[in-house]
Amino acid sequence: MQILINQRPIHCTSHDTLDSVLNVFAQGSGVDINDIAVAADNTVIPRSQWATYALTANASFSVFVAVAGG
Amino acid sequence: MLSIADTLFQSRLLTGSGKFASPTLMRDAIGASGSQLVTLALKRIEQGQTPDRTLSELRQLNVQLLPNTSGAKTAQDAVLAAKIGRDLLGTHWVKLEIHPDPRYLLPDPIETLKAAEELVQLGFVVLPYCSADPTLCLRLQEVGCHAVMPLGSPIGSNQGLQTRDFLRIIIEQCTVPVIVDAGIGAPSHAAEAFELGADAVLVNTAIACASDPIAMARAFRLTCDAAMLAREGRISSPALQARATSPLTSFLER
Repeated sequence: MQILINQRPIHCTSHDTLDSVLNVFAQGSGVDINDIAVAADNTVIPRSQWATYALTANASFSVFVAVAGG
Repeated sequence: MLSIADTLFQSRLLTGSGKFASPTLMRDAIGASGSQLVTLALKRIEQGQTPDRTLSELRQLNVQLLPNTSGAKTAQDAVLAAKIGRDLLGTHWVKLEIHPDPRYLLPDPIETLKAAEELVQLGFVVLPYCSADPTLCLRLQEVGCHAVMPLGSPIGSNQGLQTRDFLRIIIEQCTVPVIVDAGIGAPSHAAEAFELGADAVLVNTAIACASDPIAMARAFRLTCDAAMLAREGRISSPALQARATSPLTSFLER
């Protein structure tokens, strides 16, 4: 199946967890997995839920990092 | 000491991490400023974007991180941003800022008040960036904000305290700390804020865009310390007429 992370299509299987997909995404983006936050449908998915969060086809996630700002 | 939500800070200089030429320069300048509360922003990861090292550099300093909600155009956006900041940085403190107008970056008072109320109910320590409106600041205080952050002039404009007369009223009326944010372009502007009675100032552009940000950071640190010492010493009130500092005896006359 396919999901979207920051509008980018990601292929995954039903065995994948949000945790594992985010790990790959974070590595590919050059960021530490501990330095991201995730939201879906305008709701934050707490880090504690990543390992058990069920992925469904076409689900869309937004991944955020901290950046410089005033 | 500056006290916000029962947390004490020795430094009354808050700093922002934006606009520095490099993350290491940002770290060194903020280190030189002595600031203990430092803002950063949140951003969706873009494809092909170089990873931002702000967070890892700031973690090398002994500072408390204050995520902002910059980019939010509505209260709903801001509440989501605050929750993202909490999950990402493990802090329930947030600098609430909602400025939909990109030209002047002036805060939307209605959305800011709405978001502040909701965030306080969710348990956040809310520091709202707001216009220098005494009534709004009182309303923000009433809904439970732990400080108010009225602007001196538009963000990054270096115009100083264009709102000084209203800042004076805000400082007189508010019981929560008043942190003058935005527009402070020189250490003298920070000194003026403290002379008006402000509890703290937030400075970003004036340090980050200086030719020597580390020197400027030190200058702000020393100015803030000096201004607070001056407050302890109590500045004398001005008078229209001269007051002699030497004896007026006519010693040359016989």
